[in-house]
Amino acid sequence: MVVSSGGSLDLARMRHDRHARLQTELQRRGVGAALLLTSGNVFYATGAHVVPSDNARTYHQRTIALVVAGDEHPHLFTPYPEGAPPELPADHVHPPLYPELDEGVKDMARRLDELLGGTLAGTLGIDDFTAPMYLGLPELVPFELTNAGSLLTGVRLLKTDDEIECLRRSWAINEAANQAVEAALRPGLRESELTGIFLRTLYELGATSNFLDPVFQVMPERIPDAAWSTNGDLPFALVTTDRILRDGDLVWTDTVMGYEQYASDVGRAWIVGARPTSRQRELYRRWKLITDAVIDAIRPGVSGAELTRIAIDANDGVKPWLDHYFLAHGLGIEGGEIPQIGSDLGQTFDEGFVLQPGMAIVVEPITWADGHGGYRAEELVVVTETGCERISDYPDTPFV
Amino acid sequence: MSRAFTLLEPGTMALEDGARVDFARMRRERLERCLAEMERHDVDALVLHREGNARYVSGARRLWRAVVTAFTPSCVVVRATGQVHLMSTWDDGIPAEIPNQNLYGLSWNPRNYVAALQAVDGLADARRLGVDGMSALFSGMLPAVAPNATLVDGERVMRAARMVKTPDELGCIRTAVAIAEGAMSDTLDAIEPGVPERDLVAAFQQRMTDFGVTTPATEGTFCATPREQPAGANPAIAPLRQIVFDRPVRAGELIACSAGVLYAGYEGAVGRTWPCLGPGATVTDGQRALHDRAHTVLDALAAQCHAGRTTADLRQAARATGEPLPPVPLAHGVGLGVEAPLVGGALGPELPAEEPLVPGMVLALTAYAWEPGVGGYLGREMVAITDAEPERLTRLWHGPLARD
Repeated sequence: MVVSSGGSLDLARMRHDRHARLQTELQRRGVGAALLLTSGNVFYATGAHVVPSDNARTYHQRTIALVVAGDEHPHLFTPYPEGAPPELPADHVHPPLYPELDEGVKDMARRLDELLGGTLAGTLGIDDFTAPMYLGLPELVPFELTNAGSLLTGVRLLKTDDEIECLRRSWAINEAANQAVEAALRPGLRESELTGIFLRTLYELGATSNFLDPVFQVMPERIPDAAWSTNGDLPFALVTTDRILRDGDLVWTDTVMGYEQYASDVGRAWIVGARPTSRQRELYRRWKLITDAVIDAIRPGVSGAELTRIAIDANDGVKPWLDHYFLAHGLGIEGGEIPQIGSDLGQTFDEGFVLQPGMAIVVEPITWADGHGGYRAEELVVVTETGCERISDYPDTPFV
Repeated sequence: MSRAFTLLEPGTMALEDGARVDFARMRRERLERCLAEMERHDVDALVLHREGNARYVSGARRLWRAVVTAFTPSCVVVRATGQVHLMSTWDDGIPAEIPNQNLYGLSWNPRNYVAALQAVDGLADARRLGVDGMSALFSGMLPAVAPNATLVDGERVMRAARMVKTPDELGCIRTAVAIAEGAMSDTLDAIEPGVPERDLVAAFQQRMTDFGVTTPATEGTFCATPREQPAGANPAIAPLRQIVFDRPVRAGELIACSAGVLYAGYEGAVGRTWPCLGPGATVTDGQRALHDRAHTVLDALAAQCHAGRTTADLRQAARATGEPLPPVPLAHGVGLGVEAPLVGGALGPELPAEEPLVPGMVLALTAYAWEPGVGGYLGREMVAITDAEPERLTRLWHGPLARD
């Protein structure tokens, strides 16, 4: 890896620690085994690598995890046996399951019975179903089925030191790729060429995968000039096209990629060619004020509602984030994990969500002045025992 | 009709004569096919999560993500009204025939999804509701959305609709193949001793964006093929690495390269194996022989790509060549990404169901031949099944290993 965070990382230890946490939670909830189908959960449970692909391909070539309470290792069903972690015993690495068809679900039931039949202590938790699975599996297995989704969400919330090191490396690679794009920014480039520079740099720096069609959106100066939206707020993030960049364009970025599948979610604001106007610099300064106030407040025991209140106070009583997103969100194996602070989950959620050491939080306020555009950037912090560690480190020039 | 095929000829510049894919016609014909299959399957409404399904019925260009997430209702089709409703907070990327009132915003609160679905005209009346997946969270909420509905397999409905491509869809796929081959051609040229495999992914992806495409169908395989079975591997299965990492390619190795792109959502993919030649080196007879063996299988598979044959015929034809089945699927459907049917290789799935091959289907065919001490040859081609001879969609040359 070209980008270095200076921290140490032990992937085997990370997988071991995650498995131990899953085991604790399975026992606590009386879940005998968890059958996991969604990308993030399968990776969390197994650490198995795949060929990163469009979802449509993944549906047909899935990795699936089965974590059995009391078992020292997870079971992995995979079309990519080479991607299984080295410590996984051969009797825990299985040919892929194919729950796209009724016959594949029957096969799934048979193989679950081979591994669990007569020994399952508790329910079988499942995080997601294909349609044939949802309609067929309950009749085919003698187990009580429960929801494993919330179990995984809870376990994934608090990161180990190794997970945090993966987040650091992921963020560093992503920022470096953003910087490579910003350095190339000039009138006449296409948005899609920015994507090209970004993706090339990502892989050259050691990214494991890219999770999102990178967003390089030319922002309007006024919301009425933007696309129509369901809530009247500013449409962001739109799909990148081959639009040609012009002098003075304000570009907001949103890029999500993985290092060892740990996501980074870098968002920056750039100006093409020209210098920012004094009004744009003022919007940046306000954004910085809000962001610093929120990050200064992040420590164990603080609720999401306190963060939203601090952000609103720092913005003279106006909510500084988009109506369809949030002030802050969690980060881990996926770009957007809980908590979504300030989202439509509502005030009760924000009040009930209390920060704890080991949480990774992306803070992403927005400032906007219709007629002048606005400023948006994302900063990553990790909650420590006494406060937080800021991981993002992207220069705010030329707005400073 | 023939004008649908002209997409590749005029390039990407603005054309007043509209001589390209007729996207409006493509969307109309797709929705008609979907509604017809809903009728045939006696399905009143579809609640869909999968992006390929949503794109098929709507043509919506939404933000592409490469992770499989839990089921959320992101698109609804109601047969009685013929309307498509979509989760999208804005109308950017939404075709004009879908009115703004059919859009509902992105949400983190399942209750807001329920409210959005309750506002969909006709959904509450559905007796048979097709879904393309389900999560525990949403299954508990469906009674509030469609209180009288029996759930059925909506993926089966979508599979039936999507299987046969319209001429405009074929135009998109041909374009995607040309882009994939264009990006692959430059990437193959970049193979030389010492280049990390991951840099080949980097080269492919940047070249892809030169064509205005920002989403791969897969990050792909750009891996040196093993010359020996790894310790502990199943000796009955030919060894192939598919997952790229930092390892540099070395002189004398055969590099399996397979990747794809999405154009207007449609996949074009190609697979070739290239020798990594050091200064003054040439390919060996053993390497050429691997190319020939893989192409014997590819030709045998292509020979089955006729209406009236089945997926079982494909597997049988591959077996009849005497080559062991590859450690990857032998064939799969192609459209808005990978589609059914899937014909498994050595790792399966091997399912009893035989699916018929019909005109308008597009298949990706894969072969892998391996020899201890030499390495392997991975080849992947795309073909369209027609009323007559199959049309070979991929045409990138096979490089230094081909005999002619």
